[in-house]
Amino acid sequence: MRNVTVTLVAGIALLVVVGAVMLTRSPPRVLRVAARAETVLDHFAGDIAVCQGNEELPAGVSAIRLSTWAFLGFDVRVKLFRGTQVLAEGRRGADWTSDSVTVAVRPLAHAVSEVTLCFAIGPNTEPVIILGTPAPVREAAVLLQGSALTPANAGNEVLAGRVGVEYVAGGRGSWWSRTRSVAEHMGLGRSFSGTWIAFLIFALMFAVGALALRVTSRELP
Amino acid sequence: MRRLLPRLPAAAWMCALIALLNATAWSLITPPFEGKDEVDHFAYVEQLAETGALPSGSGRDDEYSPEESLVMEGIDYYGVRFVPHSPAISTAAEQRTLINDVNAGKSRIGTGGAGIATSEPPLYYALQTIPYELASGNMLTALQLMRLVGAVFGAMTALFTFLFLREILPRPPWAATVGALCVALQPLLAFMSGSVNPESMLYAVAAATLYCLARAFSRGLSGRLAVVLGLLIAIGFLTKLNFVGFALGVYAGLAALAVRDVRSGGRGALWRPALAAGTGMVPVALYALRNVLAGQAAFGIVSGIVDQLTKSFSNELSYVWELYLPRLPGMAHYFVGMATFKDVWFDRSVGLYGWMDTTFPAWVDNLAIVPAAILALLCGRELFARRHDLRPRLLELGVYAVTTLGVLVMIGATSYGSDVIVHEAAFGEPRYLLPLVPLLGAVVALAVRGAGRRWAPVAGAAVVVLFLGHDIFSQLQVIGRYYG
Repeated sequence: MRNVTVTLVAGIALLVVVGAVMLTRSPPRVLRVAARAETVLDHFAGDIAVCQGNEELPAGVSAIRLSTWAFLGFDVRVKLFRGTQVLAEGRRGADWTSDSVTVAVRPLAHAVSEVTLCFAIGPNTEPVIILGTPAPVREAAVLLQGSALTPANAGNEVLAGRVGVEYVAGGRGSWWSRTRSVAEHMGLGRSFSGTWIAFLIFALMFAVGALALRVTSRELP
Repeated sequence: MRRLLPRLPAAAWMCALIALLNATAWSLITPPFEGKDEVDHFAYVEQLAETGALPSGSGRDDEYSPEESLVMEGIDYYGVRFVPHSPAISTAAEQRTLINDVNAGKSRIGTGGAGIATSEPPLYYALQTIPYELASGNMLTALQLMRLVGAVFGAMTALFTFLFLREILPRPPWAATVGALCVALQPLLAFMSGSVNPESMLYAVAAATLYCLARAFSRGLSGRLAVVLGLLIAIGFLTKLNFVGFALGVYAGLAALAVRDVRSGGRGALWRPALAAGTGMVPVALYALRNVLAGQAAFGIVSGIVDQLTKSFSNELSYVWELYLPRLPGMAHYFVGMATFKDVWFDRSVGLYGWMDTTFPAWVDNLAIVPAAILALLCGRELFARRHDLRPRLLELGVYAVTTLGVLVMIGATSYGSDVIVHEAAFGEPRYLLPLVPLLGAVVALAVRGAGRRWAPVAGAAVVVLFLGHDIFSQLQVIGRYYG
């Protein structure tokens, strides 16, 4: 019984510490929206590689968010070029789904213009939809030929516009500092509204935790 | 019923209460219509309540009722769904617009379809017309009340899991409590139970069915239990088409019980398994009769899946295998570059909420391998240590294995149809596995026992805290995604 109590207390203390530390982190913020996901540019059901030029890369970008839809998202590689020089690159495993994939890259200390953004999805055997903004042919994203992810491999086939891209960096305020605004936000979007909804959820989960611990400490020898 | 649920221990009710409160919290955390396919399931209930008719049509080009469409606009449904960085509505002005939309008095009758829910059986939706009517025309209130019905199903799932575990693992009794507590705290179950989806009812029916099967194996299939089991099978078929896969194991269980009863009591004992099997098949027979009379395929879209199975059996077998396990030599490549068992089933079991758009970072998925592996090893250790005790129960264990296989093959076959035949997406969502959640409880209970007599209570307490932490951090992840 004593061992169980010690385990429960230590476990809960650990959860509280981990939770408190996680809440000191900041949600990501978007530094620049290069193109929005307004329309479907193309569908694919195999490997794809795309480049689009005239990108502006802000300083401090730690991740690039691409507007691509997949139920089972496969490996994604991203490279940013200035001419033939690779400015940054990143990779994401086959662990994503939904309307966008965010790939971490190493931040640059300064902004760079006239950047070419290239990305590849593959090996891929599932449907992928590329989303973006309609654009004239000369500004549109280009499909690559060959295996190397470089603008030099650009083929003749262009997409119907520019792929939705957002440049993301670490946020400024921690989750702790946003507690109040998050609680207020949770009170919207229903037929009943108010911050009390956040408190109700907290109370429900407090009861869940307290009951679970009570049952455990009472039942276990 | 009293004989089946004789004076339940307080711990059973506590597990049910915990699951109820947990799912209620999830129902408030998840913004309206951000549960998976919730718009379609709501449309089904609306169609049934407003017109008294079942939905019809292909399910592809259906339009929601003007009122549902307006409310979806008010909550920026298409702007939030599938877009992980797009939060729920966040200003007082948007809230006012939403309330105006809800009270606009628009028609609640659509084109007669209910999207992907159109082909589903009606029982869950018929039950949900009660909270729908209670809401007196307020769509968002109706949705919340309907979610609470799901939370009750979540509580029933935890309750029947407790009973199932006490039946199959009676010693020590607290191991079953730990297993059922972990199920009550399982975040994906709570998320699904806190949204409008017939799967919440399917999980409860599946847990109750497993309990009845376990009881039949340990105490014999009485006439009363046969009737209850038959009714549960019938309810399962009337709840969601996915039950077909689960039913494979249930019928295997009835066959095993029939063989056992005939051996011990002669052919006269056959009537009880036959009664259960026959009662369970009644809705299927009526459904097939209706379709045949209407000149359609006898088993609706299930007929299509069976046709497809027989046409390309070897390809389909390879596909189903690779959907869960590494490809074997000689098999075609269906998921090149993806370790489905890890990237799809494990990682998404760690966290996949909302409209498939809320997950944990990859490092959390990788970290989760450690406790999962420890639980698996302890479970294996216990099974090995008790291998002599398992021998007399191999038949029963085989039935649970066939049930699991039935669910996996059902998901795989459906995914093959969507992915390979129609060239749409593969189905890779762990929520489809939740009818087997009592077996997860059994794995936890075995793992706790596997820690040995001295450390088992400590392991039990640790695993409860682990599941509680998983639940709370999952909720924080969803709160951060929608309200951050």
